Amino acid sequence: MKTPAWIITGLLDSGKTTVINEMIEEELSEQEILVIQFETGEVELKESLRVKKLVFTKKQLERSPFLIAGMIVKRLEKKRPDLILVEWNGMEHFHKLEEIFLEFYVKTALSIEKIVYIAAAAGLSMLPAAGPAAFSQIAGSDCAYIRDPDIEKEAGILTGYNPDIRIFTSGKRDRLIQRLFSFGIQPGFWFLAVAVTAMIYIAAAALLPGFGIPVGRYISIFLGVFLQAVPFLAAGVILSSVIQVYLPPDWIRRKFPQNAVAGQFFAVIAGFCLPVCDCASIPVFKGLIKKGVSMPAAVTFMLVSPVINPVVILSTWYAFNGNYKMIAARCGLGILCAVICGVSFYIKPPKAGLTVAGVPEASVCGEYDLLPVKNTRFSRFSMMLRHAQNEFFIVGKFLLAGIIISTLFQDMIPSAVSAGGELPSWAALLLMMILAFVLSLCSSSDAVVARSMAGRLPAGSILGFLVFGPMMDIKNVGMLLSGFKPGFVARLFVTVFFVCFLAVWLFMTWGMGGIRL
Amino acid sequence: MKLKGKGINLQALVESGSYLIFSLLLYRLTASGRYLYYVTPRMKPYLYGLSFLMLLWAVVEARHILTPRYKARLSRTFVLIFPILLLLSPPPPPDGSSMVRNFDHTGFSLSTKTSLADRAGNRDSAGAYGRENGYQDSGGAYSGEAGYQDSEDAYGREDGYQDSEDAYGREDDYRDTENDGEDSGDSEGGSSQEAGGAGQDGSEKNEKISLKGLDEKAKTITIADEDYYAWMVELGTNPDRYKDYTVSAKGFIYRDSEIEKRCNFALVRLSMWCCAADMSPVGFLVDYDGKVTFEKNEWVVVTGSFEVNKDGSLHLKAKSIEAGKKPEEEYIYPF
Repeated sequence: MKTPAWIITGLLDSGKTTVINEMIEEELSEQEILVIQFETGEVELKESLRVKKLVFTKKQLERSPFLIAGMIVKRLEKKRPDLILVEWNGMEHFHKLEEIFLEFYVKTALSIEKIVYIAAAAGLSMLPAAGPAAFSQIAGSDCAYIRDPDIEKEAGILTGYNPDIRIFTSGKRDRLIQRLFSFGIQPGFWFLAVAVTAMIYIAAAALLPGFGIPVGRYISIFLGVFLQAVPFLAAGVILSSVIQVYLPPDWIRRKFPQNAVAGQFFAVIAGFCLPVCDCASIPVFKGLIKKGVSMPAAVTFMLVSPVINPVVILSTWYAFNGNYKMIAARCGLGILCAVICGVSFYIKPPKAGLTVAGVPEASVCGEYDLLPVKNTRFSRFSMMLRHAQNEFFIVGKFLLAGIIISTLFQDMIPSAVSAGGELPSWAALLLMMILAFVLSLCSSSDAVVARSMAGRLPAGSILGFLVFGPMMDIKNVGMLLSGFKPGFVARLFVTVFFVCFLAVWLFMTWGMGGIRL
Repeated sequence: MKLKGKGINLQALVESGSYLIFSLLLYRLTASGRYLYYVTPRMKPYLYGLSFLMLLWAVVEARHILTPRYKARLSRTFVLIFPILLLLSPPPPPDGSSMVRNFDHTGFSLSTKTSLADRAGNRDSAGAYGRENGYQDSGGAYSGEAGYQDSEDAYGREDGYQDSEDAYGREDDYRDTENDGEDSGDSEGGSSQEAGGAGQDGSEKNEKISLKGLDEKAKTITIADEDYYAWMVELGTNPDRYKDYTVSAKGFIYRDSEIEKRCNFALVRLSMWCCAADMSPVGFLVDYDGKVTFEKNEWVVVTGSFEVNKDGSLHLKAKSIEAGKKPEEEYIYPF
């Protein structure tokens, strides 16, 4: 039988022992308990007949962690308590705890059920300076307990280190206890989930066509968009990770033009130089914001790069039979709209946009649970790869959701296009912009699709499709939501939509610059 | 003991495994050519690249499998598990008609680039026309790459593109000749191209190679699977030159209400411009005096006399319809 264990961790003087004493007296008043302490603070543990303690000093921990593991197992073999409480030293990296309590040998005797991070209001403000050991503990914890009431807002800083952490203030102590006694989702559940997904998929693929639902087509379309988007997403996350890991923390901020006009100009040039589509530019945008590039310039860069980069220009050139006016209009309007949207962020700056705010520069990786690595070339490379993996999953799940939604919308498209022929030009433009949003095509090849619709619709609406589509579509919104607050994404969306609509519409009413398709 | 301090890291195990499986499946998909059902050949190097990256990630992640870790974020792996499921047992590619994404449903011109009627409208302006021909050259040069479908990667295609740029670059003097001979009409297109000078020779040669199956004496055109698109461009651009030729082409039978109003069926192949989300049919409208015994989606070889309708759609008056074998590369990739 395995003995359950709860880990209590937190900074020095955060009140770990106090919390343990409280629990032993109240909720755990009937259990036999073994408390394993890795530090002794000012508050004494209240020992009794049913509460025993085992203390290891910092020296022991440093010299021979595995000896400690052996000692704990031996102690458990002699007499098994009902519950083990571990008070982990606030200055020690969480990885050390995992090495001791999760190694194969120890796992046979004890299983960690919950990890609680304890903090006091005063400690929260000191967190950013607390160092990697503290970050690693927060990242490893299931829940956090703040020993003051009503400071949920300040406690939000913890989610910057661990997005999944559940925060309880002292007003909600009973909820914390409830959570401690509940079982989390066991890993086995996920295997079950995979099996069930596979079963549903196989059953759906076999049964749904019988009801006239073309599963085969949906899957083909999904895989089509997916296989086209993912290589670029991978390129984007790699590039973004290179920026995060290899460039010194404030290098970009120092080098980036401070002047607003120069910043916008620089953003457009940089957008031209990055030959990627929208799947890649959004992770890079996130990276730039994290690195402290000013929001307006970064927005301009993100919006402009999928419209004007060389690959897109070439594909537009090819699709429109070398119609240079079309290319000029697409790039010109693209730059214009992007710059206007970017500048709008000078006029009305958003409140903090990143969901992960206030994270200090030093913790670039988000992988606090790793041992601090030596600064060798190889370790940086592998850190870059891990950062990219993280980013890939975070952005990828939104991309996947976006593609699935847009796949389900595909059936509306041909009828929408044929309906567009009879509409007035402004409505056709609106229709094409909505279509661009729903279709979520890769900007490196949307020109050919636009061309195939050109016979039916006014040229201006095609232009709207080509300018708005790369800047905003379902998958882009999904990817933005992976790193930014919904309010920010909504503001960006509305701005881009209206700016594009007005710009293209004005262009249309002024005679389209003589463009004929 | 070596295992001191070692424990299982479930997340690393699951992720590493998923990367590896995804990488292998992606490699299999690309190497077997089945990726062509979903994306265009342009994506091939990117897919290989992604497969390699996934393998690299699998190796990097595998190093952490024995580093014990309490937290296991497993749900995020669904980003890979979902595509893995789809790639593991891909459904049979759906039949042609159901994949049709025709944005261009105007009174039917199962056209090459865009509706040919639209093109005819542009013909008034010399500039546009010149460009049009520039495009046609590129079409020739393009498939002249000894079978565009075969070219291994994006770079091969890049070359094709360069050719077309050259053709375009030469457009200036070309357009002059075109202006001179404008009155003489479309059928002069070939000769005025030759008048364009030595610079034209390259693309002229290419055109001859690409348009194989042409027998000018017998007035027959036999369109091979791999030349399908090149021929459609050629027939669409110079319809008058091939009037009353006997054309033999392979495609599948496509019907919808609008087509059935006008003729028996359409003989088409699907063209993929970008990915499986935008397939549009390219082909002929077919009339046949006898009874058509073939069903929708069946692959047939139609032999018939070629003509072009007022709206620019290509038409075959069928003399014979025979069962055909589905081409190895089912879709065509114009771009």
